[in-house]
Formats: sequence, C-alpha cells, structure tokens
Amino acid sequence: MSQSRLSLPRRAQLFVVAVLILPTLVAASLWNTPVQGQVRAETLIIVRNIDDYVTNDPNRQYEYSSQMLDQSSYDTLVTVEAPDFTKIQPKLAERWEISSDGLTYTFHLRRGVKFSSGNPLTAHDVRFSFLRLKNLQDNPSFFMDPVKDIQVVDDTTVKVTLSAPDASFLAALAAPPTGVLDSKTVIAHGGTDAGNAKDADKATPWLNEQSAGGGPYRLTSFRKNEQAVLERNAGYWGQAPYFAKIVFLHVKDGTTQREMVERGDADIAQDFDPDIVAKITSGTRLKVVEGLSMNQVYMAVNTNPQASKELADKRVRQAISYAIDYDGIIKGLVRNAGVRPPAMLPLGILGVEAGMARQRDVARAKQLLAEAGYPNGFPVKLNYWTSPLLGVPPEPLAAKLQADLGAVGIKVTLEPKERSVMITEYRQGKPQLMLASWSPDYLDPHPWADAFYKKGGPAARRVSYDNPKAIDLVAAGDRELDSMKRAAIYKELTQVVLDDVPFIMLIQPKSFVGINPSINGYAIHPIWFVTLSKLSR
Amino acid sequence: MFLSYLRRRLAFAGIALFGAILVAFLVAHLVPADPLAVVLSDTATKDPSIRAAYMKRWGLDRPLPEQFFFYLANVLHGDLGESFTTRRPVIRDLAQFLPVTIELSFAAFTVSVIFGIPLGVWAALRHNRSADHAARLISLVGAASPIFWTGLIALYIFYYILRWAPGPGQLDPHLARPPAVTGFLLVDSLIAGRVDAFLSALGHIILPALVLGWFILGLTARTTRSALLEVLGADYLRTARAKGLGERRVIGLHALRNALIPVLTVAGLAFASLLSGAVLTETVFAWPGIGRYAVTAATRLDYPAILGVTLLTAVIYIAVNFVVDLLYGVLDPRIRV
Repeated sequence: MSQSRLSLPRRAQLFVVAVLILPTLVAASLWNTPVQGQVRAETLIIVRNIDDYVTNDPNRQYEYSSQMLDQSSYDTLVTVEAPDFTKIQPKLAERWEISSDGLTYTFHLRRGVKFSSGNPLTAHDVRFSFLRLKNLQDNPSFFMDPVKDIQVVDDTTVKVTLSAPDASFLAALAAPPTGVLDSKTVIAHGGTDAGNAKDADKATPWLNEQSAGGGPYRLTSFRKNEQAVLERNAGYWGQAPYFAKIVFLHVKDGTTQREMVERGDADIAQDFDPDIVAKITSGTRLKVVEGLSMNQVYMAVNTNPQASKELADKRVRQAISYAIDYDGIIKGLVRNAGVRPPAMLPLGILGVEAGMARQRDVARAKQLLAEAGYPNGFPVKLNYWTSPLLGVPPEPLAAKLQADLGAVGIKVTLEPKERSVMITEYRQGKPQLMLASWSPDYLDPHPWADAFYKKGGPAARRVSYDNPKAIDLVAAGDRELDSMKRAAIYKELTQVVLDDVPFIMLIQPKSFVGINPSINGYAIHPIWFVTLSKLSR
Repeated sequence: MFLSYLRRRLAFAGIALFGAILVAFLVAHLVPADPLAVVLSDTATKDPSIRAAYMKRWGLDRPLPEQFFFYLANVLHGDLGESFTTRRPVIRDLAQFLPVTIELSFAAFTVSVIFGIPLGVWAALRHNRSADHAARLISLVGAASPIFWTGLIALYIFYYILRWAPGPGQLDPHLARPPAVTGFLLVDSLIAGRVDAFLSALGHIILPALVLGWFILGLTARTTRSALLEVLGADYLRTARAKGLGERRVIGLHALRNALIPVLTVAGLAFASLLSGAVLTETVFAWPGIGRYAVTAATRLDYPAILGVTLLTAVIYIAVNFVVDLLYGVLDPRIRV
C-alpha cells in the first residue's frame, strides 16, 4: 500500500517514546520516601484482610477484625492472655466473689478509671453495657443469656445474678463484646440499654467509626475495605502502650502482605498460611510467629434418617471415623501445621487430651460397615463450599476424604456449592456429610459443648444429634465449678461423642503471622489474634 | 428536534433502569440461600428472636412483590435502603466507594487513550512492518492477560523487586487522608492544599492504572489501527494530499478524525465496563472501590447493596452511552439527530 512508505514525523515518534517512558519515571520519583525516625518508630502498621467488617459496635459485632479493634478500645472486667488460656485474670474488676450456690457474682471495679472521653467509669457503665448487649438482640447477645439481673451496689461494685450456675461465665466476660462502654457518650449518640434497644438504639453508626471505651487505644477512624486507625488513649489507667498509633491496612493477598513486611512498609502481616510460610527464604527481614488457633475444620455427619438412612446407623458413622487418614490430611494439606483434638472441643481448653483422638483403622471400618449391613459400602454425598475454611482449602480436603472413604467401599459424591447457599442448607440440616469450620466464642469448653453436643445446639441440630447422656454431661459441665471435676466431665463427654460420631474433627490449624524482627511481644491469641497493647519495638 | 430526542432517550433510560432493578431483584432472590445466613453468626442462630429482629429490620418478613414495590418507592425518594453488611445507608456506601473507582478508571482510561491511540496510529502507518507486529503484540497481551495476574506480577516487579512503585493502597499509611469533599482523593488533596497527599496518591494510582488500562489500551490500539487503515485509502485523503497538505495534517486532521468514531464507541463502552470491572485490580491493589463492594455484596447476598450497585451501574452505562452519542455528532455532523 502506498501509505506504507509514510513514516510518523520525527516529533511524533519522540512523543510516543516520551509517553511510554514518562509514567515509569513518574512512578519512580513521585512516591514519597518512607517516613523515618520517631513517628515511624511509634507507628505500627498491620496489613490484614479487614473485609469481614460489619460493625465495630462491641455489642453488635461478631467478626474477627472487629474483635481485635474492640479488645484494645474497650476494657473488659476480666481477661485471658497467652500462654495459659485457662487462667482468668483481673482487668477492670480488681477482684470478685462468687456466691456458694454459683449464682451471684460480685465484681469490685478498679478505682479512678476514666474513659477516653474523660468520663469516670462506674458500675452504672457496666450495667448499661451488659443490658445493651442483651437487649440489642444481635449476634453477640448470647453472652448475656445466663444473666438474670444486674445490680449497681455502689459506684465501684456491681452484682450480677445468673438464672442457673454457669462455670463458663467468667471466661465469657473476657470476650470483646462484653467490653464496657462509656454510657454517657453512647446515650448522647442515640444509644440505649432499654428493653426496646433493638429498635430504639441508634448509636451503632457512630460507634462504627470511633470508640467510646476506656481501653489502651481508641478507634479514631474506620474506612471499610481500606483502613482502621487506633490511637493511644493518653489517660489509660494501666501501663501506657508503646505504639502511639496503629494503622490497619486492608490488603487481602497474603503474598502481597509478605512483600510489604519484607520491604519495611508494614510491620505485621496477619494472613499467612502454611504455603506462604514455606516460601519465606532465610535472610529476609521477616520473622514468623506461630501459635495454636482454636479454629476447627471438621466434617458433620448427619444422624437424621431422613437425610441418610445409612448414616443414621451409629456403626456406619464410626466406620467413617475409622476410615479417615487423619495424619495424611494434616501432613498433606496444611504442611503439618495443625493438631487434632479427639472431638469438637479444641486443644488448649479444659479437659481436652490429644491422646484420646481416634486413629485410622481400615479393617475396623470395614468390619463395622459389614455389621451395619453394608459390606460393599453405600453412596453418600459430601457437601462443602469452595472458599477456604479458615485458611484450609476445602477441595483437596474433600478429594482426600473421598479417597479415604472409597478405600472402605463408601462411594462419596462431591457436591460443592456457593458459600451462602451451603450455609443455608447446612443450617437447615440437609447435607449428609458436610465440611465446615468453627471459630471460638470464648475460651471455655462450654460454648463448644453447648453448640455441638447439646440437643438443639446451633451445630448439633444441623445433624439432629440427640443423646440424653450427652445432654446430661453438657449440663453437668456447665454447673461444676471445680475445674478438676469439670475436666473429668468433658473427658466423659468426649468418650460419648466418639462413640456417636455426629462430627469428625479433622484439623485445628496453627496460626501464622509475619512480623518485622524489630517487633516484640507478639503472642497469638485465639479470640482477638493479638493483644495490641503488649506490642513494642 | 433535540428535545424530543432527549425525551425519547430519557424514557428508554427509565425503562432500562426498571428492567435492571427487576432482574437484579429476581436473580438475587432466586439464589436458594437465606440472605441472613452469612450475617447471622452460628451461635446467634440458636435464638429465633434474633433472626426475627433481623427479618423485621430489613423488611424481609414481607411478601416478595411487596418488598419489590417498597424498594422501588424508596428509590424514587432517593433511599436505596440499608446494607446488611455495613449497616449503613447504601447511598452512603456508594458515595464513598464510587469516586474511588471513578478516579482509578479515569486514570486507566487516560493511560489507555494516551498509549492506545498513538500505538494504533503507529501500527497503521507501519502496516505489516515490525512496528505493527510489536504494537499488535502489546495490545494482544494486554487484552489477553488476566488482570489479577498482571497486577500481581506488576506489584512483584515494580514494587517488590525494583521499588519503583509504592505498595498497594491509595495513600501512604502515614499520611492523614484529606477531608472528603468530592471523594476523589487527588482532587481532595489539592483542595486541602496537601501536596504530600497529592503526590502520594498520584504515585499510588499509576501502577493499578497501567494494569487496568492495559486491557483497554489493547482494545483502543487495535480499533484505531483498523479504523485508520480503512480510512487511509479513502479518496478524500488523496484529495487532501493533492491539495498539497502536509502528511501530518492529512493524518491528524482528516484521517484520524474519521477513524476516531469507532474508537470512541469502543472506548466509551470500555470506560463504563472499567467502572464495573475494576474488581480484580481493586483486590490486588487493595483499592477501596465499588468493585470490591459489589463482590462482597454478591457473595454475602446483601440485597440492598446488590440492587444499589446494579442501579448505579445501569445509570452509568446509560449516561456514558448518551455522552458517546452526543460526541458522534461533534466528530461527524452527519450523525446529528
């Protein structure tokens, strides 16, 4: 063609070249050099996936990131810290007495404590916070289920009466939703603790973006999918925290998080999995901290004959539990970064012994199947959703279980579905076998025992689990205030549910975080990930 | 003439919007899942009164047609409802997240036009020579590479290895965000007179804009190239040359002007798709925009948020198409209505 001899004018060529090079140069020169010195040293930057956010209102939130933010901006009456998560320590409550019938708890509050607003913290604030938590009727309201009455004795004494003895009540009061709010400030922003709070309370939008507590930090800004900022509470009653400011940056991808810590742009990366940890080479500016989570990845086995007549037979469920190659799962799927308690009570809480866990026994599995009348196995469906189960990829796990059960003749069909659909079906008790996960409510055996092994419990009813013996043991564990005797009860419960197999515990994964080597005091907490006020540089 | 055209367009826009809301509403409700399944915690499910409180709060206890007309009536009053997952009015969420995405899309669009059109012109003028092949390769790779991949690779190379670009996010974490006036960070930092924030924001937007823009760059370059090739052989160009016009004016004034019409169509539609399609870029670069908001809304079955995003996207598509139609008239007076 004639125009092929045309060439672009020289100046235009230069323009094209300039246009190609310019942005690179701009990118190289414009971004500011990192802040150095005192300001950088006293600022802690944490990269984390914070898109689980729904609200930061402590009485309404029940999401991971908010637990951490609220834990450092609202003090609780008591606390539980690493390494011994069974030991309850005083916090806002200096000391407490429990009546001999186990029904009345009298808390003596620390004197002279002030909220970050300057208002004094009194017993009235404790009562307000507990009542608001109860009456909002939102996700964490169950923390107040055992409570019958709350009385203010004087400014520093509060008396809580329970409707029945509850050995787990103190442990529950360490959880962030039970943190104490500044009632004056909350009321000024539309909050209320009245019986109609679920309709009348209007304080949540305000509490989403700043805190009204008296913790070592206060929340000063929150932008969903972007960042959260905590600033030191200057008038904190306890030891002043090291960092003046903590910035949470929303970064979803673990690899990018790792790069940011290695480059010094962030101090802590909180979403590491065993694969990312395995790729870290020595000599990089990054230290990995590991700790045991109290998360659980498990398989539910429906005991309802309408869901599966085969699974309704206890021997079949036992056969399944003998067929699984547990060690292979932990080794192959999470690079050995996990442990396995015997049942749905996690390792690290009272009364759980790893030694009681069931081991694979293929011959026994086959024998049990034959006894139940299925010597050649039977078909069954395994449901799961496709997004990770607390960091564990469900597809390879499902495939492994399919192979393990196949080895004893059980023909497993895999049925993955979208998470929201699958949660709905699971809560309706439809799946035959289901892969799911659970994360801790608070650090006491009660919430697990109640959820999984008591008839009608939020998890138990999904598999129609109903054994009067288990119900009795759960109730006995709730009542028993002596921890030795209590531990024995949970061991007995474990025996019962290992015989019934309504759930099969698969992995209690380890947690990993990557930190800049200059950071001290990082200890993984199973509920709020880390106690931010204990960190320093 | 123009007014009746405008009226017709507006009527069509209204019908299209109604259709978009209806379809989004039906599809969202057809998903066989409980919208509260994701927002209600496992432990909270043991108390039916909590569930009832949620159902009442979001009007989910009413019959479906009633919910739909209730929603429509609210939309007409400018109320898009409250999101299940952010517990804020959807309109406030959109006001926060949309400008962020528009800013990124605009930057990406600028990148694609200032790279794409010259690249296309260059390729057309060097038809079938190595420059043409190189240009075609650049645009082909851009159009064919998945954005999450190019994004991660770009971050790895330019941030992690070379340190030429800042890390993910919109702003250096040490800098305070200027007060939101327009919601566009670059504009807001200038309004606040914050040069540090402006430079940091500019530095942060370049890499995601290049990654996101590369895709449309390919589209723009290929359309420019083929349109220009078509025009280059036309009689009126020969006439222009015969009149003694310089080659630069022939190309710049006559050829390019006509060739740009299809480019405009493609780029216009691409701009609209940038707004709704920045999801992956936003994920990789931790960009707090509307794309991520939409994905969260969809996976959590957040009905009010899903409907809000759908409505907004529909409005943007309709508006961009309208602007493109008006621009046709400017470029080619024959296409006046």
